[in-house]
Amino acid sequence: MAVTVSGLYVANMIDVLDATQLAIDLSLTSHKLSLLSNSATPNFDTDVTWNSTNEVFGTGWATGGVALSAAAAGGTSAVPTLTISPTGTAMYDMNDVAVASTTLTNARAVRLYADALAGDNLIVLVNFGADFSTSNGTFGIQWAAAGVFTIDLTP
Amino acid sequence: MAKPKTYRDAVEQANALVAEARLADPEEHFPYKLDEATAWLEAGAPAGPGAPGQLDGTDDTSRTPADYTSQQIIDASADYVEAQAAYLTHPNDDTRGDYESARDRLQAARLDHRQHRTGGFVIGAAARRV
Repeated sequence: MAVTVSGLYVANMIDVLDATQLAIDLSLTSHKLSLLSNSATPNFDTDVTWNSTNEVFGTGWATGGVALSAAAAGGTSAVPTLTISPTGTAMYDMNDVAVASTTLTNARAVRLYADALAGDNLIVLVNFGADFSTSNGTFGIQWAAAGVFTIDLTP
Repeated sequence: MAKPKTYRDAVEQANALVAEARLADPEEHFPYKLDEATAWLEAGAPAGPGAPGQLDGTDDTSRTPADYTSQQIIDASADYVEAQAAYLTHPNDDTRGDYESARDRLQAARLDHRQHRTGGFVIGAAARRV
């Protein structure tokens, strides 16, 4: 029982591209960031819908998570984008997350999911690699220079 | 609205409806809160995570707003959101070109900030490890 890797939720990515036409628009800011403890064991092939099992929440970070529209500087939008970077690769990125006045215990990972869809479909999980806590402080996620994730479309 | 006769018609109608709904959705980011973001950066208040039982986050100066953003990112974010709204309102080659240009400027601002900020984070949370 542990979070060991980061990844995209494969079944939902397939549904975006096939006749299901799952409407995940990665530029939406109604998507939410939900924290997860290391008690979870993600299955990227079979996990489809967000649920509260092993969720980390607390003061300043409600159950269900924080919308991207209010997750960045001073409660503003994280402004998610998709760009080509590097050549042949799609990069999903956003402004760094900084949510003030939080008290949270042992967040190991964050899941992004489509709160605007009826299925609360999972998009991506980012493993922090360690447990992090706050005490009436800012919970920040400083994304890597390579963004939140990349998909190499010309391997 | 006329019932679409083809898949192409249906997609075009759906896209128009989705764009209209998105622009009106209070959960979306239109317009970008430029003044709030700028004020947060300029205030420079402590933005550290705090340490449970040891340090309140309001006194934790291990991080400041400048660790998370820059005025360049804030300005580029506002431009991007404005260009995105223009494209959703009137999707055409011109608005799409402006949208993509604004996106690239925002991405360049992010990269510049991440390459120059201190602290050495590679990936993941800036909250305090326990």
